[in-house]
Amino acid sequence: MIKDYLHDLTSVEGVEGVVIIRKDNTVLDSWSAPNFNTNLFEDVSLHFHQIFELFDRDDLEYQENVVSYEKGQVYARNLPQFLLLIFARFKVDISALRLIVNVGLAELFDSKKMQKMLKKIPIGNHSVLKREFLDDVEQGYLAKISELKKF
Amino acid sequence: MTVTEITENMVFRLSSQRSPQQVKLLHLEWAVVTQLDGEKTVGEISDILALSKTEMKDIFKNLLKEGLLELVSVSPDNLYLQPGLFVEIEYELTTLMGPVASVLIEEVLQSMRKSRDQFEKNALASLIDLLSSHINDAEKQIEFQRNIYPKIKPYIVKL
Repeated sequence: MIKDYLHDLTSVEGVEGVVIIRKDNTVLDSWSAPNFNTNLFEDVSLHFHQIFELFDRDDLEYQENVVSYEKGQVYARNLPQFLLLIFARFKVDISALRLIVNVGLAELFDSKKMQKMLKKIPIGNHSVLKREFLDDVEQGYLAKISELKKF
Repeated sequence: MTVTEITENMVFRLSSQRSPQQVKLLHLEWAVVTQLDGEKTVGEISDILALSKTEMKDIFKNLLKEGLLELVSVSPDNLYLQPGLFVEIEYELTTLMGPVASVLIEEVLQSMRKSRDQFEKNALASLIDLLSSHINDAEKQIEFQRNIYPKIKPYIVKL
């Protein structure tokens, strides 16, 4: 998927990792620059699954998010079938990443081969915020959000 | 040469007129000072120190204000877009929006405080982003981006 539709991301100076990850937090496809720690992929994606699930719970229609970390920034795009993460240095222009992702994803979703493949992937339901996975602090935080939503 | 805006391809060296010891500097400002060698660009220093664009601009502006920097070089040929590219952008936008496209481009350029003949290459993706956000139909937004992308790709992706 990355090679065929999002290859240009891998040629942007400062982009160090790209990962497409299912909603159950398993990797569909990935690319990384040499020496990039790919263990980050699933650790970071778990947090983004949670962020986007919270947005969904509050009916906030956010499709993208950018978060800084010690070595750069992570651009995340949330789609019904998967989450796309791009790990980039600070100097990388997010507008450039957004443009390449928009164009690449449009081509990906136009492809009949990809449409068939995507049909097999369960959509929605991130399943990472299930109550059994939450600790007391997280449960309390969600309870507070629910209370606030009543006002 | 008077510096009005900090750009990534500027090269600075420490001023011979004033020493950093004479000024109270923050930790990150000292880090930048130690990287100034009259060869590394602002972008390269920013990358080495993992600075965000805002941090980079603020730090260099402050160091300039304190009189600690001397501009060594900046390459305008590599910095600015060929104005001809705006003809392509206007053509693609007019196809989707009609004659209002040229007015929209001027408005967006004005909001970015830039002009067609002095438009930095590294701001091109932001321009396309802003122009796209003025297209109400989501499908047309993507169509504009898909049509213009092959023409601007060389400025965004290293070939």
